[in-house]
Amino acid sequence: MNDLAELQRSFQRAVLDGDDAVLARIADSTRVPARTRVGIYADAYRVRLRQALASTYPRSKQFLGEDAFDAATNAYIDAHRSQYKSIRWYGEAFAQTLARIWPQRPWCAELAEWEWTIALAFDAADASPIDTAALAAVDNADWPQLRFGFHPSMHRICMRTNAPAIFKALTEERAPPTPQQLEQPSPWLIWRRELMTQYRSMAVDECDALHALAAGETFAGMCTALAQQHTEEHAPLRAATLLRTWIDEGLVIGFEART
Amino acid sequence: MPSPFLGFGLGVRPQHYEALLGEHRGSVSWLEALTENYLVPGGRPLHYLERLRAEYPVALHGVSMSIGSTDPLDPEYLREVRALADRIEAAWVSDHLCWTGVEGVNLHDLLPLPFDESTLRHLVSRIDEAQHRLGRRLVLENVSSYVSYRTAEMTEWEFLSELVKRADCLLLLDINNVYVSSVNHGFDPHTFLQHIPHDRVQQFHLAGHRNCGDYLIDTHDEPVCEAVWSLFETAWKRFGPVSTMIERDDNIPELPVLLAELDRARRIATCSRAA
Repeated sequence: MNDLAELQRSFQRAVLDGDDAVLARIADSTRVPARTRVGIYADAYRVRLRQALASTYPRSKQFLGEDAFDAATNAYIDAHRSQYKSIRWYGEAFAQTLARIWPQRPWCAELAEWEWTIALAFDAADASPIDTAALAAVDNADWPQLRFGFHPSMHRICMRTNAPAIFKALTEERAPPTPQQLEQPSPWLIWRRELMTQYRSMAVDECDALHALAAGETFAGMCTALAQQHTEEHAPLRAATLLRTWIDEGLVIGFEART
Repeated sequence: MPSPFLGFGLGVRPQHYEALLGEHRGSVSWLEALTENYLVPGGRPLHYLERLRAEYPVALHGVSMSIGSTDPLDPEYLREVRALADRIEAAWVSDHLCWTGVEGVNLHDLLPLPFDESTLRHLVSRIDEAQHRLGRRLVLENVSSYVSYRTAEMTEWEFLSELVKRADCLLLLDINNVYVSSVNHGFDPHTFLQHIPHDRVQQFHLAGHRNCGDYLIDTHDEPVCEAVWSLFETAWKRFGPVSTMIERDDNIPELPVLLAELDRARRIATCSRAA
């Protein structure tokens, strides 16, 4: 298979880098020369990857405009070869490329990061949320040791620009707001409820509490995390309120009382 | 022998999920789903695939097996395809007779293989491994090609005929691809069809292409052209009832437009049978 392996490496170099070596192996015709024939594959390669990025990042394309998006996708394609079975994953590092191209316009990279996270939630694993009734039988004494499982589609993402508002406006076919950096970073929650992707901003204390619980902390541990921003007696109340909100939103899929 | 004749179907695309489950439920006899689109953890793609499967037989059609590559086959990918095929009780599993990249790269294209003895031997052992890992027979599709290699030792139809015999696999005969390649390489597409073993064809694909003047490109963004309909008639007469479907991947119209195209395939089949 050495010859086939060499032919395939040579063909691949032609597609990726425009290398000419494979042309000697291609049957020519007067109507369509070997260079044109191989060129069909090289052109199709870039077109396909551009289409994949446009499909993963439709709002970024809309926001940047055709020319700027093309420039960004070309830079990305030059720097990234796909090693994925499904082209759906190809754009994984697109936000980093946008951050490199437009460091003065951080909302471009954040909009892409946002879209990628929305896509992750879209086809994340399924799980059945619990309802508050499931917790009614928990003995009061067990509460401090309760640990909770969260929906596999749940992502916490910190935004330093108003990229989520830009995304929302474009999705609703409205003019996007003026892009801007925020004075304070803003934590957001993205998840899927049944088939619908959801998102909302979080208060800083909620983000800390959710981080603690999602990392495997107990309910008591979450209260400790909240006590940094609330009085000791108010923290459990805030914890209970947050937990109820998460359950109502379909974010919690299970719990266990393990000591 | 191939699986039983399923009738006339479509390559299912997300735009048509609701129509196929609602207003146009039962308008086709079976569906072909693009394997890679459903190799995801969950959510909408798998939700709809399962609902569609409850209404229609579903075959899986992949683009990333890279059966002809000199990179090793990816056992994890084959395990995932098998799990999906088992989960939905796929009517069969197909991919393309091509390679998609080497050195770990996926060019996401269906790249042509040289038609020679050593490639045949390479493919036979790979198909054997893939069929073993998938736990079922593999159905392989002839691809549209824009290059052929100077070292070719046989025609594409000789290569395919020998391959299905040695590897004991089945063929997905893409009628549009036969036509596109025949124009690009200057052979008679009827000769191609005449030399394919009649008992190895599991499925037909019909699709549209783009005419670029000196050559054709397989784009799946146009209706099936007259020349391909004519070739389909020839194929139907030679191979008899074969599960047939239309593939549309770009410029996707409303479902009734594709159903009308599929009706034409049905009419050709009926007339050919009567003849």
